[in-house]
Amino acid sequence: MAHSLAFVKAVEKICDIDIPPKARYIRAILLELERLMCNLNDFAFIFQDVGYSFGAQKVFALKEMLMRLNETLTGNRFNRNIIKIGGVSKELDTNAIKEVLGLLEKEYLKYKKLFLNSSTVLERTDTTGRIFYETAKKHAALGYVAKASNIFFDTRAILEKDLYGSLVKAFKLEQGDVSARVKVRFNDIEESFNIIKTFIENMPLGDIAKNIEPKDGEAFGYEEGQRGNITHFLRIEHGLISRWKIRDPSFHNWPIIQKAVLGDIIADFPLINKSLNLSYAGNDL
Amino acid sequence: MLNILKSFLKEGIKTEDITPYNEQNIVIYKRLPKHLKGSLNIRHVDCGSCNACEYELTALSNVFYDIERFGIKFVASPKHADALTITGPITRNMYKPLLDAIQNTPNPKVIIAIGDCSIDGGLFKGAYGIVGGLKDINIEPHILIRGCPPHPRDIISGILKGFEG
Repeated sequence: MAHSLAFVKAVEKICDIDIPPKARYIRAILLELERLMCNLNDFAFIFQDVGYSFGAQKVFALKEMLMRLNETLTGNRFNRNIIKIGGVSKELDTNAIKEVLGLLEKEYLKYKKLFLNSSTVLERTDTTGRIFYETAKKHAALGYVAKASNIFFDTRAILEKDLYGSLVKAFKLEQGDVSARVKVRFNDIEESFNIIKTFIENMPLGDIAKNIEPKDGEAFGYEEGQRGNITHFLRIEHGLISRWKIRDPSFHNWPIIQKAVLGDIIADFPLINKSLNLSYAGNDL
Repeated sequence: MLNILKSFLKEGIKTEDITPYNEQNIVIYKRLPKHLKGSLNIRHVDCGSCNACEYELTALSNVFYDIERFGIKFVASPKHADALTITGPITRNMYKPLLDAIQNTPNPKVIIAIGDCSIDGGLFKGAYGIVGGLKDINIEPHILIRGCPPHPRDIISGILKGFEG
């Protein structure tokens, strides 16, 4: 989803069109739904990797609820086939989103409390896999890895200030350990709830898509995915794509893991790996 | 501990009944050996998928689908497995490892293709980095579950359906 958005943004920049405001809002809501789903998934896996399967299964159930919501909204559990060049292809059923998210938020807060109050979990996560500010800075860390190591970088807050305004807070933590990365995710989840609610309330009226005339040229498209900033470079010649370079945030974050695991016991490796949640394919793009 | 017990009592069991159904998304080429019913060990091989299928395979073990109640289990090596699940268009880098995995699975090996990509390359058909789907490398799966990605309900139903008849 975030990758397809980065791609269409690049195309729209080349073709020099502004998409209708309603389409922008719908895209933002879908992006937050995806971020929410990924963050809940990571949260569940952290529970799993510290050996707390009760919490893990409960949070997996929340993720499944969200995927079922996606299915009712767009017909696909991963919200595929909805973003198109020039807008979106479908309107959203905002009542369904409100209903499910209301339920989800209440449940989520319970498991957040469970995480923060359970000594078994905190003992494993605190001071594990520390990434210091200098390391993160040197490797140009992105996303939650950067935010947990005292660097704030969020595409939404920098490039799309007109849309998000103050909804994306400059949240950062200093510790840089596993529990800091989970806390950054907590903040992201709460922010997503907030953004979706605000956007549903302020949804403008009008068209959801615009026709476009293909043009030649080259442009960058940026989007804030769950893992961090996604950049697409696109060149169109004679109406065809001649060059397309994708840079996934995992490309920046992979080398950091070798610094993060230093001094930790081997049993903590899966936990640190999960807290970074790096994409294997993202590195090779 | 008390809170955990309380939430168990309050929320009840979320697991859903799944009765195998015939659907256009499920294609059965060959029946699965009867003796594997109730104890099917699966080794998953990702041949270059976009990870959506993996997300759905992970979802199989959540409380809603709970695949282990049917005796289906994921294992860590093809040598321990009865069946292989294959996702994604087969990339050039994963072609050899896939053949190795198939060779190392003891007979009678069951091959389950998951997702549109796995059978003919799907969205990635004809791309430079891929060899093609299972069709292109002349391996006939027992079951094909279509979808991009397939619904977890379809995956369970497809495997159960394979034992019938």
